[in-house]
Amino acid sequence: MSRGAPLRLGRREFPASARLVMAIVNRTPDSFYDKGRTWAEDAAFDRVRQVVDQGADLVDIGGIKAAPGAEIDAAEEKSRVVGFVDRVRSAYPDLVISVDTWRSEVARAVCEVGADLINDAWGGADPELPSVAAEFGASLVCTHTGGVTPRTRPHRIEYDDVVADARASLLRQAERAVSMGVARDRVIIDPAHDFGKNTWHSLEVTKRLDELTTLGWPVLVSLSNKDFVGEALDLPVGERLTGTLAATALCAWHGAQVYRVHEVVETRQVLDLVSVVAGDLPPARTVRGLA
Amino acid sequence: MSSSVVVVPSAPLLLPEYTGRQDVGADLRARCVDAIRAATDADGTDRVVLVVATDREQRGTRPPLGQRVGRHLAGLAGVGVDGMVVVAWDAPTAECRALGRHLSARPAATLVVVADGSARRGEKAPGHLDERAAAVDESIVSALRAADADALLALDPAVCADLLAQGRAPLQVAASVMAARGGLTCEALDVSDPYGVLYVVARLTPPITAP
Repeated sequence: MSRGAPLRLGRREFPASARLVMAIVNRTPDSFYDKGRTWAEDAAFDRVRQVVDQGADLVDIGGIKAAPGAEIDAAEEKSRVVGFVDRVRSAYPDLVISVDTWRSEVARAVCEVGADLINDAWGGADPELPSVAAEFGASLVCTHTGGVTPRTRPHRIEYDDVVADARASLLRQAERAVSMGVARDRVIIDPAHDFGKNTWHSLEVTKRLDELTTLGWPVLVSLSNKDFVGEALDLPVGERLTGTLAATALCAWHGAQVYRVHEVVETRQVLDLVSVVAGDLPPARTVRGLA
Repeated sequence: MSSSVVVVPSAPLLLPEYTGRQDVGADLRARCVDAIRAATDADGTDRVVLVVATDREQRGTRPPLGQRVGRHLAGLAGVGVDGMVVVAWDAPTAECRALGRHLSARPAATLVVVADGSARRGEKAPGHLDERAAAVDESIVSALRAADADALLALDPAVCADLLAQGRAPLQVAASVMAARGGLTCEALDVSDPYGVLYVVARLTPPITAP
């Protein structure tokens, strides 16, 4: 069975064989990994410049950390991201810009200033989100969270079969988005590691990711430095890069197409290596034994 | 009367199936194609005969690399392959001479000789460094520059085998033809060794005859 699907993001088109790096750009004071390093707008802008130089295919700009914390209302979220998206769009007319938000009100505001992709990390908590993506011709990420409330941690959640649950939820959301007017090749599905999932669940999703990459939709994975990597290896945040890259390689082998990451250079190398082994990309340069 | 002799390398990196995103053989390939085109234009033909060696380390059933490289380059040059002389890479010189005589008995054709010098030209070379490589390679280059068939026929098969000089036998087949034809001069000669293997692109042409 073939894996993935062609994908359109902004004006760009990518084949099913593409493996894309989506660089995380936080406009938050409290995200778990960077702990506010790019909270200041100029710092966030420097981060955009850096990841573009490093070869990121798209950026994912977020104004609210995923974990529980201070309540950030829509007005505050917009003040963090809308002007910033506008600035990035002006500086990088061709860069694919994603915004990490579950709120349709925020999605509308960022689409008005040029966002290409709405990354709904919270599983369609706001049912109007797809209609905004449809209205602006934007792309949309649908995620599996098991239906939890945004910004909550999973606690004692169980599934009969987490992959089956993700598959059903993602197919339902993707078809709903299309029925609401989002172009079929602009819908991405994301099993959302660690969202509504304990480590066992995230490991199961990783192991069986091919059951999602063969559904006919492009798959996004967000693995970077997450707790399931940390718990698999008993390593704290800050020491999870190697584990993240190993998980990245496994998902890449299964055919995931978009990788939401903190470390662009390392991810790019892993993805290119897998693409080369899979035959989706020729090796960069071949002389050994051939001179 | 078509009777030029072109020498090109048999490096597999000239083949599309071995080319990565960066085409490391692009320049060399272009020089080979230019040489074949120039020779066939001068000879007033669009056909060539290939002279190639068997593989030194054959593992399977594919045609020899020299044959595949020669066919690929001829195709890029837009010329057809009328004949193919495959000589054992380690054939004794007498055998090469005999093959050359058979070839000379046929109507004169543009020859494309797929042949490399030593693969032991440096520490990083495929066969590591052999101090004798430089001198033997220089004798190959100077023989081609002088279109000196006798000098090519004097190459020592055992030493060339030690040096992994894949082109010795086909060069000696060609030299036998050159000896029979006579009068060739070296019109163009390009020598390089980016990876420790001697690559020669040479074009030897007959004197221009009055129409």
